Amino acid sequence: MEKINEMHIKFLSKSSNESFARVIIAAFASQMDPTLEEITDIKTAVSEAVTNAIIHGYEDGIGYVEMSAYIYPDKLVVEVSDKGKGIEDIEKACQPLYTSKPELERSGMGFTVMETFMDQLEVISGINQGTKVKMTKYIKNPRGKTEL
Amino acid sequence: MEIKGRKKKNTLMVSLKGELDHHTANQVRQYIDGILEDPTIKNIVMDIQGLNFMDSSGIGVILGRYKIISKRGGKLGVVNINAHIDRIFQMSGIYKLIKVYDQLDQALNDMGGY
Ligand SMILES: Nc1ncnc2c1ncn2[C@@H]1O[C@H](COP(=O)(O)OP(=O)(O)OP(=O)(O)O)[C@@H](O)[C@H]1O
Ligand SMILES: [Mg+2]
Repeated sequence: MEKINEMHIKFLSKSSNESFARVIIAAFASQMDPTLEEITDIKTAVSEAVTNAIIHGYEDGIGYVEMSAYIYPDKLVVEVSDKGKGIEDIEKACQPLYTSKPELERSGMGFTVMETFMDQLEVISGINQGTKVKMTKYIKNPRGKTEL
Repeated sequence: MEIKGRKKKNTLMVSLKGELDHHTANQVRQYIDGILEDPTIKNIVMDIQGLNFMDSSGIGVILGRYKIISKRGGKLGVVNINAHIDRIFQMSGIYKLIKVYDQLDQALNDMGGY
């Protein structure tokens, strides 16, 4: 199906940008007239992906996090990517409760939250190249596409 | 994030208002751990009515405080859990460790704070 709208944004890997990314995605997705629950699901999943880019991708360093979003007639696609250290074993990383940073009080639930709150999750990663998380959310009753 | 704390007997009551993510988690952690330096505090009750956002960083903060308090033989209770946070709590298995109350009074009673 054809793409109706898209946006791209790039910001520094600072934790204060986590809420910034949530506000941006909520504002962009609101064009589709999603329910409050759908918006909360999307915000939470984005928050997880952006937080991962900041704390795992760049660890103590600083780099750019990029977020892109695409509106289709029936779904929203969000991509969050970093150019950080990458994930060695994606399957292991996605397991509930797996974390490489228990000392930072991480619970290992980020990918599980993204998987549960979104309809599709795809993780692409390369060691020292970075990580891209692509998530799709179907919007149950999107506003008619002619209105967009 | 707005954090308020109050001590009742050996229970610390904390109410959180705002959004609990990785950024604000540090603030909550420091606030609570500062008060927990008082070794007479055994239990924590968290009122999360004012939390309008939480992600997995919240699970980390709560579990971290639970670990401290359970070493003292205390309990951790959470009051006013909304549907969104309930889903994240369920996913994480945290309900096996923490206590859930509908009302602050109930929580305090159970902790022996009254
Ligand atoms: N962008 C990333 N760059 C490098 N490693 C990552 C990235 N995202 C996730 N990981 C790896 O995958 C693991 C699992 O991620 P997940 O979000 O599920 O848990 P967590 O971040 O460790 O804990 P939580 O999200 O509950 O705070 C991380 O511990 C980390 O090792
Ligand atoms: Mg995470």
